[in-house]
Amino acid sequence: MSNSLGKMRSRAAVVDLTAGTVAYEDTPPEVVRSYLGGRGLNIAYLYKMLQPNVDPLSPDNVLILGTGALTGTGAPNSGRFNATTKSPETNLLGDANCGGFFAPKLRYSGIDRLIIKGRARHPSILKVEDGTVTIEDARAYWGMDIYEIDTALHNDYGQSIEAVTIGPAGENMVRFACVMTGIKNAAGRGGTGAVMGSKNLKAVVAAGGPGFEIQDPDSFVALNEELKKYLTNSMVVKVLGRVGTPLLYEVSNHLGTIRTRNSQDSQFEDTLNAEVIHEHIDKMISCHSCIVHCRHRNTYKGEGPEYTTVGLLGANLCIADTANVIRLNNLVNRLGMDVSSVGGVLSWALELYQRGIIDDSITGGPIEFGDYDLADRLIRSIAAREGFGDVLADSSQAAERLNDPECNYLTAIKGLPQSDPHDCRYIKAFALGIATASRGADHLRSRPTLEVFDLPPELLREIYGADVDRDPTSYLTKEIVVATHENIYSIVDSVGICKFICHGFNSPKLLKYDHFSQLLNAAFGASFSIDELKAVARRVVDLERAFINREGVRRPQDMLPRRYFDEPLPHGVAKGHHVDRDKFFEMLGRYYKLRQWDEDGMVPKSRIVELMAPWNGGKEAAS
Amino acid sequence: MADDSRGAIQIFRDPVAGFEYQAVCRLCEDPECVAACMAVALTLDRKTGQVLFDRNRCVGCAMCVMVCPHNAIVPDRRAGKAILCDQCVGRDKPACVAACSTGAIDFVETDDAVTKEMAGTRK
Ligand code: SF4
Ligand code: SF4
Ligand code: SF4
Repeated sequence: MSNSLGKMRSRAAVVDLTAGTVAYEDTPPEVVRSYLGGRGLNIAYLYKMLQPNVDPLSPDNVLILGTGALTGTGAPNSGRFNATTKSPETNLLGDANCGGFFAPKLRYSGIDRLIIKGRARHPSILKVEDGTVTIEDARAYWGMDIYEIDTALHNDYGQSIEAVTIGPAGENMVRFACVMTGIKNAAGRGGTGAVMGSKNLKAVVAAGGPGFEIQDPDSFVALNEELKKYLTNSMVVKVLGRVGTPLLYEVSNHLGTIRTRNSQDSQFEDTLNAEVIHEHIDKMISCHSCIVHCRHRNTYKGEGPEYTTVGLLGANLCIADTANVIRLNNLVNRLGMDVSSVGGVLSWALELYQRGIIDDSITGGPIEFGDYDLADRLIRSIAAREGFGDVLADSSQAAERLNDPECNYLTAIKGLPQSDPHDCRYIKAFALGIATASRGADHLRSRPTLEVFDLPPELLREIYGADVDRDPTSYLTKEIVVATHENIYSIVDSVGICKFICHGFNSPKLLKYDHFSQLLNAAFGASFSIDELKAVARRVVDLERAFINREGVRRPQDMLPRRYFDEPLPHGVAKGHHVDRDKFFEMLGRYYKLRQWDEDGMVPKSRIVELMAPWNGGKEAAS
Repeated sequence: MADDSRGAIQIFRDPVAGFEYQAVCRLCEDPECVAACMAVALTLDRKTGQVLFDRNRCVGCAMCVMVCPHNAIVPDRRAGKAILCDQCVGRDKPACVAACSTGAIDFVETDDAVTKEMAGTRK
């Protein structure tokens, strides 16, 4: 018996920029039921629509901007969407979640998902209003940075619009350019902005429309108030709301696991501690419907920094001056790039130069760690694709030109530089998590921390459904830990809620499957059970894996950066720790088994037929 | 209908300039909106200081929208009516106060009138 969707609907607009046409469709109910929305529905569409081996920057690639099932309902922290495409940075899955205010507005404008293919003849904008998408001329906006385009669009289209945009980096197809909204929120990873640029699409403007129906507004509001009380009681929520993600810097630094000097070191200055950062902050602000408000407005005309920024543009480049790190953060956002890849690629080049693997003939002059002015210059030249910046703009794909064809000195997996500033040689579940993450070395797919917290054993058993090893350096049972976190995060990304209030993200409390089912059912009068949501979670993880399998990913691509195996950590609690190759591969093998993938990490054909069945109204016949 | 453009409180944000402005009814002592409303949809309760809104009488002319010095009235194009704060008469606590997670908005009774206290952009 399938569950009821109640008033839950999902409407897609399919835009062909080459032909200049827009078609509309209601996503089939069976597909909505199986993938919910956001990240889940996006991969369901991408898998179905994209041919294998397409050039990500060609008109054949598809860019999907999809709101979550609860986006804009007023549920806590429900302002999010996912941008999903084939990544020009990895040639695999590009999928990034983004907050801000755009996603609810897109939904209120009558469209839940924009599916964009082709390439416009000249710079264009999509305007969404009253359920209709129009393609408009954007030549006047081409060349503007993220701040300029945000201001210009509000002046020209009205103060109440919301928009996603690209900056110069996206226009120039820097392989780690982002789709952005506001001046800082980014669908950051995998080069979604480069795909937008390749399509000659400068912005999408959501101008408003009919809104959508909530089944019983009074009881839904009451549920949200109850959840607000429950969530704001949490310590993690309180601290995040006060100082934001930089709070994690000190933790990693203490352990001796903060990536420093391109991971040659693992401890750095305390000038990047959350409390020090806070002296440069004007106030904390938030995304739509958020009860946490983790974001900073800094005193240098920008928003941020996050933990990733202070780690990767600070410690990893050996830049200790707090104000300068925040300035770099603002610059990268203004140009519309992913801070993680910018930091990872820059530090890679700096080490290659330090080792004499590259020299002035390619860099155009000396480049050294700790040089703020140099970092500023290189960041600008990457966005403009000028000189050495043009090489770096290709991220891991510049490996040959940088004389490091195996990426021995780049902390990356599947071609994606690692986003977490945390060095994964110590906590083995982190190592497995970044290896199996469907979009490459990324911590927002799992980042499991609970098993090492001091939680009662019964609680741990309840969370993981098994007894797990609490030793962070143990390889045993970590496959269970990683899979559990991957599963629930695929749900929170599919309903359009922020990970910071999701169970497992640094807290054993927060929103769990039963809360997500309560919210969906109260908002739409649907009837999702906890088990059904767990089945959705496994579907999303499996289909993303099937997608990257189709693009060539096998076991050898689930490989950690060389340094994690070969070089023990130099400092702190983690001193001496590294990852053992054999134990890592055994752990990976256990993970595949748990996922019911084959030994080579492939999703079985029969499972793929099952995963695509909702497109045929639930029948598995046509594959 | 879920649609934040039809809320009685509108937040204007300018991330580039770095500010938020909360357009919310301040319950003026001598409300321009009441004076402007020809349909007598808006009235001032002199005892409590509350501005009362009779949606049935509203003809959607948007005069109140134009005269409100605080941008606190929103025209609902679809319904052809004004949207403004009704102070959640009948609820324990105004919905906005219940939903706010920062304590930025509160609803307090003062000696002479009912006043809405709000903290604007705070450092
Ligand atoms: S917790 Fe932070 S990132 Fe998440 S919705 Fe709130 S402000 Fe946005
Ligand atoms: S709606 Fe505007 S004019 Fe009327 S009482 Fe409120 S703030 Fe004053
Ligand atoms: S829009 Fe309605 S409430 Fe406002 S002035 Fe006109 S009739 Fe009166």
